[in-house]
This record gives sequence, C-alpha cells and structure tokens, in this order.
Amino acid sequence: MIEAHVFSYGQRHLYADEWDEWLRLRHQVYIEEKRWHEPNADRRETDQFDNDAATYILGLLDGKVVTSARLIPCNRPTLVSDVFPHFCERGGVPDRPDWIEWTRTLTVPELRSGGRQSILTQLCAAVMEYCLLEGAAKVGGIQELFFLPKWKHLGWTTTPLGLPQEIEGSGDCVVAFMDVNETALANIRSAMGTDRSLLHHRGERPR
Amino acid sequence: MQAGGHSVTDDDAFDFVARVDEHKTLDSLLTDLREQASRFGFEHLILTGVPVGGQRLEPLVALNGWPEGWFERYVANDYARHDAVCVHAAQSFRPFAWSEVPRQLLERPACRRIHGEATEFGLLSGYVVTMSSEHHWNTAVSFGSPEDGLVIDKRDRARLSLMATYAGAHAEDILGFSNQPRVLTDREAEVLTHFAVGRTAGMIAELLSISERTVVQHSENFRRKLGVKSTVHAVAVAIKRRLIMP
Repeated sequence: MIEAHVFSYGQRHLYADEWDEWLRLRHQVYIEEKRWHEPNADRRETDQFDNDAATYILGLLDGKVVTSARLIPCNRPTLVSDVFPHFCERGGVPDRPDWIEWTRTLTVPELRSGGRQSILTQLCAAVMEYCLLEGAAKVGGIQELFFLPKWKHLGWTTTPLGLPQEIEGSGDCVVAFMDVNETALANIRSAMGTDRSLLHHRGERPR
Repeated sequence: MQAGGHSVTDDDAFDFVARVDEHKTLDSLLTDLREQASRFGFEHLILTGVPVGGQRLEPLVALNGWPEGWFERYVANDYARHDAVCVHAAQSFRPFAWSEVPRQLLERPACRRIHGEATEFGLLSGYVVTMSSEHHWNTAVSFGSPEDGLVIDKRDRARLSLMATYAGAHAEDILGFSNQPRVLTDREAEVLTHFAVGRTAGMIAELLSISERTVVQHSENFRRKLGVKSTVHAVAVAIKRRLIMP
C-alpha cells in the first residue's frame, strides 16, 4: 500500500525532495508523453494552479513518488473555471468551497497496472478519505469520457456538468464530479480489501 | 431537427444519466437506451465487451438489441474476427461512426461480405462508443441504423456518447462484475507482469527478494486460476482481461 502524504502548497518545503521528484515526473508524463505544453528547460512541470490554494497528495512507495493528486477548492481559480468553463453548460461552473477540483493525477509507468488494488485505486481512496475529512460534498474535474466508468466500478456516483467535447490530444473529455460520502469510501476500501487509512502527514495537518 | 427528422435535446441525455441507476435489470436498461437511440435514428444496438485475441462475442454481450436473426448469424460465423467495426472498437479510445473505421480494415473482402449481409438486416450505418471496462478488454455500444449514411451532428454525438457511457458502466454493475472476487493476488499479478516484460524466474526472485521456488509457486497459482498451461498463455489471457498492464 502507498503512503499518501498530504500537504499544502505552503508546506512543500517539508517534502523538498519528493516535490522535485514529482515535478520531474509531471514533466515526463504531461509534457514528454502527452505533449500538453512545450518542454521546460529545467524539465519540471508547474502551472498557474500550483499556488496557495492547492493541497497535494503524493503517494509514496518505499520513499519514492509513484502517484499524485492536486486538490483545489472550487471557490478559488481552477482548471475548470479558468480553462474549461464551457464544459459546464449544464451544471454551471463549480464555485463552492466544498467542491474540490482534482487534477494532476499520474502513476509512474511501471505501476500502471489496472485492477482494483492498483496504485491508482489506492490514490483514489486517499483522495476520498481526504475529501471526507475536509467536509467536502463533491470532488472531480475534467477527465476522459472513456475512463468515466471506472468510478462506477469503484462504487462512486458521478454527475456530468456538461456534454463531452474533444480536447486536442486528450480525446473526448467531460467535466464530472463525484459524490463525497462514507459510502464512497467504504466501497473503494472494500474493492481494495482494506479498511485502514492511507493518509500521512509531516508536521501539521494542512487546512 | 436533424436531416432525418430526429430530435433529441440535452435534457434527454442528462435525464437518462440521472435515471440510469434506477434500472435494476438489463432488459429495462436496454428498453430505455433503445428508445433514446431511436430518436437519433438508430433502431438497433448492442452493448458488449469487445472480443480480442480470438474471444467469442456471445459471452461478452450485456444488452442485445440487434435485429432478429443477425446476432445468431454473427455469432455462429464468428464475424467478430473480421468485422472492421468490432476490430476497430478494440483499438479506439474515442467514439466513431462506422464509416470512420480505417479504410484498410473496412475494405478487406471478409469485412465487406459481413457488411453486405448486415444491410439485409437493416444495418446500414452506425455509431460506436467505447469505454473502459473492469472485466473486458473494453466495452462498446454499437448503434445501427437502417438509414444509409445517417449523419449525426457533433452535439448529438456528444449526447449519445454520454448516454452510452453511463449505460455501459451501469450494465456492468447490474451484471455484478464489481462484486466478483478478484482473480489474482497482488503478488501473482506482480510476478506475472515481470514475466510479461521478459524477465526470468531468477531475475524476478532477485527483484522481489523472494526465492525462486516462491516465484514458481506464484506461477503455478496464476496458471491454475487462469486455466492455462503455460506462462506465455497466462500473460496473454491476463493482458486481455486487464488483470495486468505491462
């Protein structure tokens, strides 16, 4: 099982090595594999949403970063509100603090196996656990339509905020948010076959 | 209003998404999805796991709304191997119209014959939505129309894709795949993944800090569970069923 370390942007100094390792992974995945942007000279990827509003979950396995999530409350600028508001024709652009935008989830290539006990499933469980602790109502964001059924397979309910549209290089995407509740956490834990917390902190729990 | 006189609104799509979980049986889900599809001009549909590597179609089908007689003929003749729409569905991460399947697949003689026969059953044009599956290589909904060259616009495509995706996810739920016990343990899947990328038992033992005998034991276990005699075959089956993704 991963150790899912939670920290705010302001606490990233507590994870200096892991943070740098993660930015390099982001560059590999989002720039070298997916070609979302032009390469950066320092081979690290960041964007305008890496700021004081963000909380991060880094999944560590034997001390190495293997998976990740960036979580931002929707009353702050988000990828959906600033870049993809036109994907929310139906539900409106989320703007509530108890809705959390979930971005920048990657898994290192050697651990991208599918299945219910995968590293990705563990990360999803950590995200749900964090959102429940924060008192969030929904968590979600822009995602590929093709993979939308995976939430259902984990026992989560999702609501689309608009119709799917094509994003060049990423296929058909949709903005959808999942319900945060105890049932969702119980379901994913039962799929994984564990009921223990995956969350870890260095220093204070971020608020 | 579409060229063929069909009419669907965003409400139709989002209402379907909102009520899809209320369907407790595959039959009622099929009836609902069919009714929606017919408003786009698609009278027929099939929702199925996409067969790969010589799998037979029949056991993978969740919703069968194909024309009377066509499904039986398709299965009896194992058309899934040669039908370009089916072959392309295994490779596509995006929805596509039948007419958008790559030419080199569509124009193979075996495929042209199948599509010729399909027209006799009222299947002239169609649209496919593919999606990830927990149980199959992937899942697809194929919608078929008796109209030759039925074109649906971008917005209708989006509406139909969204409905199909929610229908596909819910169909797997009704079938209870989510509650099935997992096939391989984490360790078995890990060992098998190492074999899949060409490592030997000795190398795997060293990598995982376990004895070679334990590696062999794991191999015997996954071969037995997958019902195969060799590790090569186990790799093939496990990849197909998405138990590993080397």
